[in-house]
Amino acid sequence: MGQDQAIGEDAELLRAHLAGDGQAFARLYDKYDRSCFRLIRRLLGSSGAEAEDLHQETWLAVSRHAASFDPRKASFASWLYTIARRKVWDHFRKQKITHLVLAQEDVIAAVPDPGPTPFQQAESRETALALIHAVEALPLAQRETFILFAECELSLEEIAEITEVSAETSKSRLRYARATLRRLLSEREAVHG
Amino acid sequence: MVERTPDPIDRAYSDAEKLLHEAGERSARRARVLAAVAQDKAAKHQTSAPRFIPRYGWLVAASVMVVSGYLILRFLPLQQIGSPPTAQTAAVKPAQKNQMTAALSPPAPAPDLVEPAPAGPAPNATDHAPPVTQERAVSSSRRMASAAPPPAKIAPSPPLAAPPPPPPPAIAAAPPPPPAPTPPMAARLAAPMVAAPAAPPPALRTDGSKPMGELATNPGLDELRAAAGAGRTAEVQELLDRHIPVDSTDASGETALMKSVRADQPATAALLIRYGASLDKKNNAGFSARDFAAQVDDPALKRALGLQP
Repeated sequence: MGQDQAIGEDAELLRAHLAGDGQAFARLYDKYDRSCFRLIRRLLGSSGAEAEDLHQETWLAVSRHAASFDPRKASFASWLYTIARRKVWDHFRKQKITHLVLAQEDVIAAVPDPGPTPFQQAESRETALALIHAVEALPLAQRETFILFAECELSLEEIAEITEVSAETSKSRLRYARATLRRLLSEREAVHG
Repeated sequence: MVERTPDPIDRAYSDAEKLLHEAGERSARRARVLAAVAQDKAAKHQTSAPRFIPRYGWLVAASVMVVSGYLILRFLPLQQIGSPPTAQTAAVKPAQKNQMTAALSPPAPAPDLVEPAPAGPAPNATDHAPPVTQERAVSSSRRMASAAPPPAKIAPSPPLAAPPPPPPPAIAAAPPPPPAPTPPMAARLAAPMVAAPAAPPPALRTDGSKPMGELATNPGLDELRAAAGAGRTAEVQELLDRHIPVDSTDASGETALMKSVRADQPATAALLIRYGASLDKKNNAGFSARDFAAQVDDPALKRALGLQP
């Protein structure tokens, strides 16, 4: 119910923006900018400047195409992350690096899931950085699934719709991503004690 | 419906992002994005609102053409368009030509002025010209003169105020008569239509490569090329992030990529390529970065430029 209410609020804010209410767009931006930017930045995995540009392009697209948003088809969050994801993939396409990233997927997918580890939270900046780098090292498909789930808090169905795969595939990707992250962090813990 | 089951690793990632979050960056980003959205929205309103402007523009153009056509027909005998004037032209409408000559002469004082009239170049013409007609002719000639280039390259014709000229020689064989000291009114009016020379384009560039505005307003351009030549990749990155044009050129037409290639700086060259620098843009001597790269024996540089696997 709370989620439905949030969806209605988002649609209302977008309508207010279309009607000329400048504050409405700012409220919508404040609500989603953090997760949107993190999604873009982690998908890019490298340059912060590029992430800033794509983030701005995403919000410009939201503003320009606000009239085409239909809350009956998807939540605003799904719509926003779809736009953001497409911006990143367009960027990859221009840079011609998509295939290089995707080529690793099969190899990583073969990693078995070792189960939960004692690692419960990012305890220090160093650990946090290590975890971020590990996320950025994931194959792109797993990475976007993981971020959309962990950071953007979307359901697997929503992720499946955004990434244009089945819910089962999304679930597998999420499982592989978690397994890889656990393995990398376990190795790090073993090295650093 | 697949249940959304959180995992400790999800929470750890979320916490890590929060720990690394920088509030300063976020607020700067917020200001930038919201300003861009507001600007974009305002621009959209501007471009969509005044749709009548193009139609209005055509109306103005049509009106100007009609008025121009009227003026041509009013003041220019048809024979003078595309062919030298004949004696007949001068003889047919002496009164009108006298008016025109008067219009071109220095303005004669009105008859009721106290001061004596100075010796004008064509006193007879001014004497016979009715004041109202003269005023109209002057204003017309001023309007036309303001819109027309100087009549220096007009095919010369005999002065209109002269007495009836001798019979003209055969037109086809006749050499052009010597230019008159004061071109006649009709020739002046015909100037833009008959022999208007194409005006040279304004000197927008000082070195054949850079617009003057670019030279005057963007000091980062020189820094970009200097940093590229010295292999200061971080500085190049910073300048490119500030949207300094990647293919801007110096006085010799050289780009930052050319500088980096000539200095054998593969990392800087690779960065410039990533930002879209052109390998094929040529300097003033006609050489491109690709040409320079061919002269540098460094496989790393060639790989950075994508010229070698």
